[in-house]
Amino acid sequence: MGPLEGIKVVDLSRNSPGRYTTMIMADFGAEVITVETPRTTGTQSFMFTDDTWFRYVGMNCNKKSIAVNLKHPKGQEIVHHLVDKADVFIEGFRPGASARLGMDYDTLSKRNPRLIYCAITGYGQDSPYVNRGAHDINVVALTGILGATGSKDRPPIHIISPQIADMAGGNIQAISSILAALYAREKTGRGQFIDVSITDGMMFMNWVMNLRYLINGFVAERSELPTGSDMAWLNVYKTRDGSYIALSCLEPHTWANLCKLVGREDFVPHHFSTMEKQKEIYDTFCQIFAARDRAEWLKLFDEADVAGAPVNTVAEALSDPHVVYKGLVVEVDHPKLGKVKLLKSPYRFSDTPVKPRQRPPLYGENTEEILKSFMGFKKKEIAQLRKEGVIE
Amino acid sequence: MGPLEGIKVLDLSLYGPGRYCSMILADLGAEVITVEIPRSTGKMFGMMTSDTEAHYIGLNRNKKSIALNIKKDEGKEIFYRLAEKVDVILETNRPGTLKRRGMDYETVSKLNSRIICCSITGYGQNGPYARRPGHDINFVAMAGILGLSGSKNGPPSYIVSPMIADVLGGTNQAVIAIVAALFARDRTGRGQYIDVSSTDGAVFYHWVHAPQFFRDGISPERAESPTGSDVAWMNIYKAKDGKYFTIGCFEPWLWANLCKLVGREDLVPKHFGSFEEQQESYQALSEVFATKDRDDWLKSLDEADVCVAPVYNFEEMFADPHYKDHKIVVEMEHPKLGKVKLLNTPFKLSDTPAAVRTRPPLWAEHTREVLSDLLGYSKKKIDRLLKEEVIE
Repeated sequence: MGPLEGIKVVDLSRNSPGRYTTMIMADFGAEVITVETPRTTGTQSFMFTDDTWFRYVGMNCNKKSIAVNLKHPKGQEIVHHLVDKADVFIEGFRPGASARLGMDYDTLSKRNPRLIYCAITGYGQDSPYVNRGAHDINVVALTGILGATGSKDRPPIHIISPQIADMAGGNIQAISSILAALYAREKTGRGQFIDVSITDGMMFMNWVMNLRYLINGFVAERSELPTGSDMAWLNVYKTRDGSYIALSCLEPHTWANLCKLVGREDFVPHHFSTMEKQKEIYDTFCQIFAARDRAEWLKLFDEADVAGAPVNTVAEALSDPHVVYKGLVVEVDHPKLGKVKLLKSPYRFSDTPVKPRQRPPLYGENTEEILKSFMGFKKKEIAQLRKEGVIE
Repeated sequence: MGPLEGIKVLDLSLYGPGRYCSMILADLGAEVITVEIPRSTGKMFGMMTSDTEAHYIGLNRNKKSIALNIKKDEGKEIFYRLAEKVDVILETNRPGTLKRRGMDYETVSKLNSRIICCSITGYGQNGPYARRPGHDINFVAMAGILGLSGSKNGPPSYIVSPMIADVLGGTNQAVIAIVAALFARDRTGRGQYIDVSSTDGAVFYHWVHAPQFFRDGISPERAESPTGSDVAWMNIYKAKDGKYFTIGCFEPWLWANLCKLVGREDLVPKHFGSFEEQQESYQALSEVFATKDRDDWLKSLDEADVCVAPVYNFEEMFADPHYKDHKIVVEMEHPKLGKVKLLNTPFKLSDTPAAVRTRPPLWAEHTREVLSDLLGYSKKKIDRLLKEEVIE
């Protein structure tokens, strides 16, 4: 029994900030219904409609899928009926679009005052950029992160995965707000509107850089060193076998452990010293670390109590002894794909464990079932709706 | 009234991941008591004990601060009394530490069966690396993020801020799990233990690249391009004035809008084209973008409905109208620092708003208040405990 057992969620979002939010809720035991657009409308890219595409497979586990034409009045009526029985409603439309579809908070909360309505957008429901589209890279840029990532003598570097703004600014803001609102509803009896701006969320999560600027006036820039970090104690070094290791010795004692290990105790007092000294230490370390293979260094770090780790490829990461030990990759049977590997939820509750991974639904797989169970529709009515292109 | 009004949190953590987690809970209305280690123990280094440091200021608003030496019997006794009165205990010690001290979930839940205990560690409570020290750079290395960031022609590039694994895997996984456990407790009547591993949480957010790897079996690698991205539709471009901006045109129509605007409709069909086509498109767009200044491009791209945003430095960023409009920064009076700027909470809940209510405390400012109000200790007893350096 997950912590959200009994909660019903209707998800109208298309992209990862919303879809990953509802997947976490589904992992937690909520019944999540994703509302897709019927393929007969021809408006959606295959990336959204192909239920064997890796994006679809990766973000729709543990959910139910129905396909309803939101532009058709009868389709809107179906969504209204779903909302009447739901606890949470999620959408990722550009501001204003939900009102045009008759699915804005005002309309839906009149039908269901206990509804928690979460809108996820790049810039929020009001902003000078309210009409501008946004994807992860744009938000990372606007929040000053991109400009400070990489090395000074090269262009800024975009982090490909995970998409930090979509996840840290969007997904996380959405899921924590929804949970907090569900908790509050136990006492107030009322639902509410949650306005998630991915940009604002990202800004808040970039706390180290922002605080240094706000409090000390320090303007973060890209680094002098090629690795993106200007600190010798927090850096990436190449080993003899051409692999990389990542070091982080923030605590004075782990820094001392490292300096001792490599026979450079003279560096101990220079832990947090000037850029010039950091560069000197970095250069020295580059030579030292190039003398042994990655695996040797990792063993030595463990013995000396130094915070080190291998710079894994995604393949190495997903087969690392740690990931295997934790069972973070699971395999399920899929009717079209056969055996499919999925990421397991990382959440570990002792009393309300997350739901085991179930395969993602096929596109629109549960349309009939939901219309019957939620609305008591008969087979004939369903056939008629399908004929009219309202559902798929 | 925030959604977590009435909830009491005892925070034993020392670093960012735990402190930011309890700050989010405090912003959402919980009463958070941070437990510091008395300076008289000489255990802490300066950065951790100065209540005017950017980190301290930025991580502790809305909280109360007490200092308690839990290695003394009476200090531990105070911890037990507090544990009886609170709803949540948060800690970030290395696995096993609290058990050794008799402060683990098993012990505490006997005193308070409704308690929710959450541990945040790099690798979780068990597993091959449970005893290994670590920081964000190590976890992103382990999770395959670092190996994927930057260009193949250089070393992996570390993203200094935000700390992706700490934020995505640690802080926020903990916030989400704690609020979910609070919600579940309303129905089960029981607390529970939550084991957060920052590394596992970070791996979970490879929502694109992990499913892709599971499908193809090919580990993604760093980009050929210096910007870290090999696709033209999601990349960083340089304008005439040397300033950078980002394009994120995932949707076919947005890509078409962009190609039309710059008079290169021939590139429309190459949206998701081969590596060579991407290079060709990137080159073509780079040449066009080099003909006008950044702000001119922002204006015309915005009008053409293209996902665009400037790569800001921090000065430009905080002056942007969006952030002003959204009151992203709050200013508070501080007894030692005068006016101090803080990041506002990004949570926007219409009925139970989150808020920055009180300034960051001074170090151990509330020891006396918490011991007398919450535990009913007499002034005399508190004076004695202070003298004996059990508290500060």
